[in-house]
Amino acid sequence: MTVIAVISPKGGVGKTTVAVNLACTLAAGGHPVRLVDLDPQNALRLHLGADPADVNGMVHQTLQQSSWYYTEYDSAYGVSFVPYGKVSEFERITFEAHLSQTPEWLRDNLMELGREPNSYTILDTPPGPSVYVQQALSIANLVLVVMIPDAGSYATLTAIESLLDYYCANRTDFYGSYYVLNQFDADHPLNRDIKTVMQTVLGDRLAPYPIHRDESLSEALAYQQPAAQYAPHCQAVDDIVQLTDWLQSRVDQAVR
Amino acid sequence: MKKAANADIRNLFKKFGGDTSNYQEIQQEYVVDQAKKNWPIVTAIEKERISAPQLRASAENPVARAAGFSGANTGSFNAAQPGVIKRAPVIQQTQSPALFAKADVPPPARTLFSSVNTPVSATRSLFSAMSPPVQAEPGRREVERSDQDKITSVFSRLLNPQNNVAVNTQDKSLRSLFGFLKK
Amino acid sequence: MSKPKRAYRSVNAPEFKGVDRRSKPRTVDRYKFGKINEFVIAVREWYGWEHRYWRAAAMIFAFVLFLVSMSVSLSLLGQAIYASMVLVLALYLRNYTGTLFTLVMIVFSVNASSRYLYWRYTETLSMGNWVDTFFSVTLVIAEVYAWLVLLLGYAQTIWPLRRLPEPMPEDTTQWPTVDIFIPTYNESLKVVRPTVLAAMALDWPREKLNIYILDDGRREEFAEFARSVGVLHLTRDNNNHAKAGNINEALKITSGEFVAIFDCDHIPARSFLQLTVGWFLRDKKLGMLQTPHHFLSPDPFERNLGTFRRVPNEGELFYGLIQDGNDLWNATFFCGSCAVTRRTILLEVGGVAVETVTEDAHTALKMHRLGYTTAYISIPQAAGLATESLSIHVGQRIRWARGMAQIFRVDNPLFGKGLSFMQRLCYSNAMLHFFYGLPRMVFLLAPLSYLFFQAHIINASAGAIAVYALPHLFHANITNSRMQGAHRHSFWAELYEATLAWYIFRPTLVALLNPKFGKFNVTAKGGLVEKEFFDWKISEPYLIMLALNVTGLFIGVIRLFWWNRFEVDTVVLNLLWTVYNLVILGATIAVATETKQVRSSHRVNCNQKAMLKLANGQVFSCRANDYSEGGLGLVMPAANMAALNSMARVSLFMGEREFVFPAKVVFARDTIVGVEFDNLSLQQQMDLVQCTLARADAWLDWDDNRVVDRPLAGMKEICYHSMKGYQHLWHDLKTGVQKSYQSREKEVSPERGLFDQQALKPDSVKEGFLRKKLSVLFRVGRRLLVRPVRS
Repeated sequence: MTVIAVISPKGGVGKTTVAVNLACTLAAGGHPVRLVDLDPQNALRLHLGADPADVNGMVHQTLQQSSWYYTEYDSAYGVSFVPYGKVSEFERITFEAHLSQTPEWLRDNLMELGREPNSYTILDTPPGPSVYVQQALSIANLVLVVMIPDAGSYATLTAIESLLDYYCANRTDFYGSYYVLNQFDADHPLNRDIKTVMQTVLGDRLAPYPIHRDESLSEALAYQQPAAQYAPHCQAVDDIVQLTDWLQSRVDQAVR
Repeated sequence: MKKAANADIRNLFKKFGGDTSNYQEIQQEYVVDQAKKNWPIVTAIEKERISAPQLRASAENPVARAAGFSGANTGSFNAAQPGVIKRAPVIQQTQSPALFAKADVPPPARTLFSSVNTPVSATRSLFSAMSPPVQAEPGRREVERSDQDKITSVFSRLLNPQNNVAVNTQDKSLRSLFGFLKK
Repeated sequence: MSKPKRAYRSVNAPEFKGVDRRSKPRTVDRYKFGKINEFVIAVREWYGWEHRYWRAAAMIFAFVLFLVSMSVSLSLLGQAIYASMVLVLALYLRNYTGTLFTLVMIVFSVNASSRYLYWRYTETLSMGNWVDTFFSVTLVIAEVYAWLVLLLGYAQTIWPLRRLPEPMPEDTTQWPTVDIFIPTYNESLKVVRPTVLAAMALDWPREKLNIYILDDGRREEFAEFARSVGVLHLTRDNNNHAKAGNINEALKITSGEFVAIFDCDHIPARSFLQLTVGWFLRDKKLGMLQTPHHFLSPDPFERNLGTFRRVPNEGELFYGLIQDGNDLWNATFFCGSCAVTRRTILLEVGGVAVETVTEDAHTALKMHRLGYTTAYISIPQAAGLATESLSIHVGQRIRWARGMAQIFRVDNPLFGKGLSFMQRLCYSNAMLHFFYGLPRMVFLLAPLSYLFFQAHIINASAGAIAVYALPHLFHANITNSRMQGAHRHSFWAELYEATLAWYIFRPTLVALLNPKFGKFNVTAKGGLVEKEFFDWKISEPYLIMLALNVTGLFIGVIRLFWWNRFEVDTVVLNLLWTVYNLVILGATIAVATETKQVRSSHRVNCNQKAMLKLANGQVFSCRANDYSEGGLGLVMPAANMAALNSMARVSLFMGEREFVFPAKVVFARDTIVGVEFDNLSLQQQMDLVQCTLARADAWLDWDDNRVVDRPLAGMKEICYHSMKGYQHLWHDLKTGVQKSYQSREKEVSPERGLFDQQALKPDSVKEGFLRKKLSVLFRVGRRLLVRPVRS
């Protein structure tokens, strides 16, 4: 089982979208894929056609000292997902306090769900550092940092690096951390330049092809579908396929 | 860092069996240079990045690492003079973040974010490029911050968990009970 | 002596595409021949070869063997048995790759051809009456020429060097300064612009690269353009010596250590300099390095026959094989464009030669005479426009032929000092090659001498001719197919030469008699054939030869069945020869039928990743199918994705870099979307050239669609084109009668495109004398037979 943590330094960079579409592409390639939504926004499930009224999620199960087993859903797109759950503020605070008490919480829960060989678990995290990111990073085999090509994201680069370094660098089961640019639009000089600079800074840790800014992605969410289902020919889908191939080749390299 | 050649060069060299590392992407270097010059923030961060020691070094050296991430309780990183790592007595290596939080070692060599009390590095920091260095008294926990600064603080909070995390205490009560149900 | 260390390969390294199809896995055999290979390598490595006397002895021994094998006279049966044995052996060896087997096959071929010629000379010359003598001797002379060219060709291409690029030093400060010369005279800015932009995008340190437009037209428009992009515009106050003079003048006022020369329509790939200059740093005596001229548009042969990218074109034998063969002997020719020269050496030979109209080849010859080396790298790193129509193509070849004949006269490579023996051979072959005009016509008309005049040009029985001539033809064909198959298909040389023979024959003869005579004609680039037409004027010589051959055919058939029925075997032989000639002539007719150029601009086929962003924010990944500066053809993943006349933005990629261009959808049907670029800025134009035509691998895979050469398939294809040619001819004659009252007019529609859209001038539709006469004849005939139909 390969655990991929999708993190981002800032909100609104399309991290959940990337995570969902990455998962669907992996699933289309024949891998069992599980998505875990660690983001209190609880939005991941909406990408996969879940009922917005459903409140169930990992928070409830955890607070009831129950198992994720009861909150794992199968989607129509070959991936299963564990939603965060619709929670009150009090529940969330309690939950987070619990998590900081239980650093092995995520690991244990995932272990319990079983580890098929050849499978992927993708962890969607809230933007910026949090107790969720902390837990995700400490078990992830591979970290995908989603950035947008603007100054704000670029400025956080060093901080992200140190964060990754702290949690991941010394683990033997860590394959590496990789970056991908989302919402890229070569029309804007800043986008191009930031990409160029990041390429020189990160070298082959930056995915060679960015994910382009594409209306189809937003439309796909409005349709509650992964982009590959909603608009199979759009550029962003193509980009995500390339990203997936690239990440898989990284995993293969590391495993070998 | 030697940048890998572009796809068209790779194709070309594959055709006759050459080594692409012999090719120099000169026009691309011009583009990169221009890109760096276009935006002040890139220049600023670039400077800071170059002056900082490499990540790997600190990862391998627990002391430096510990030094690098111990922010005491300031809520942000302290910075020493760039390029200098103060050698502290080697303390026992451990994976516990809690220990790092308590470690009382000299300020780190590498940082992105300006310290509130070391003007030397402040000039090299990100914020010096973005905005005037933040004025703050030593020991103060919260400072008024810009957008980026908020990120700083959350990152540093993560790196210095205020809650002591007890590594070995695990809650296995009910959950383990349901665990077998699944099997 | 700092001779470059050559990249020799082992004996069995060069693989020939032509035989791959038949190389089944034969492990046992390979082992057996591996032993032979080892033995040959051992022989080759023998220390004795370093010794002069041993070498001389071996040479003498081989020469004696050659003479004996050529001259031993056998009975007819003996010759038949001998020839068939050798032929079977050759056909067997042909299945194996490797230079050793090529060498063996060359030996067989040389032997068969020499035996044939010896036999022809000693036994078949008929000196009965003056008619026989005249035709017989003429034919033998033509055959000796063909034999000589065959042998020289073998010597020249016996072992293509296939030189690899030499890496540049890592430290760019050590790199030399390079001047790029782009000479232009009357070409429009649209032709020159992409070249200049691509030159600016060359991967070479900016401060070490100077780009000069050498404008003999002295046009303000060019000066303005040069200023706007930051290159230099050089002019001079006279146009002496055309391109050579232009370059020489520029040499005086520039100073780069190296000079790279590009014809104004040759767009260099960005990697050009890094792939070529390395050798100059390694070999200090290297004066010139040539790369192939690659053509992004079809030449008249390819266009009119529809064989673009499928059958190797006329120039490819030269750039694909002969230059690589020359390189082994340090005899690479300079071809005037897509080459780098070392300034000091170029100046030492007095700049580009001005004595002849092929200044380039002559310049290289001068370098060789001074002991400098030249080199060739067979990787296409620049591409240009092919000649637009057959008449222009013929004009260009006439110039080459005349220039070579001039060099033969004024600076004959066989004499003079400084050249090695093999260099002399290579140069002689290059020059001799252009004298094919007369021999080719002799072959095309030879059988008629018997059919018309009953002249016995070959005084032998048909059986004897068969046992001597057939092995000669078979060996020459299979050996050449093996050596050249990848670069020229079997029998295509006949077509190329037959088409040009008449035109080349006269200027070479004139230049041979008086090298000063004749003027320099510039090869026109960037025209457009607006609609299909048959070029009557240019095909007049073939039509005459065709008429003669058809007459000969009639006479032969009549003789065969009704009249004068003796020497049936000779009649049949001559008839077969006539039919063969008719096939070749039919194919030349097909070449002279100028097919319409469908696109207004030069569309270059490609297949690269692209992206189309519509105004509503949707972005689609697609592929670019063809491009020009005017626009792009895109293949969308599904039908009806973009609305006609909507604005869009198109991205093209170069590696990981992405370039965006504003565009308008001007065509949309099914999955094909045509976009036209909308007011590109200078930077965008540069980017466009860079990610399309100037990509390093832009011209790498162009021969992927190649069909492998097989002699019989080559013959079949020629037959097919020949049939098409006759069909065209018949059709044109028919419509010619109907339209004979209307004069043909051509409309010129100015359209935008990558290169100049200037159409051929109306007067370039060649009516021709013959056509007029034929039309009159037809009209008269019609009037006599039926009532005239006025259309």
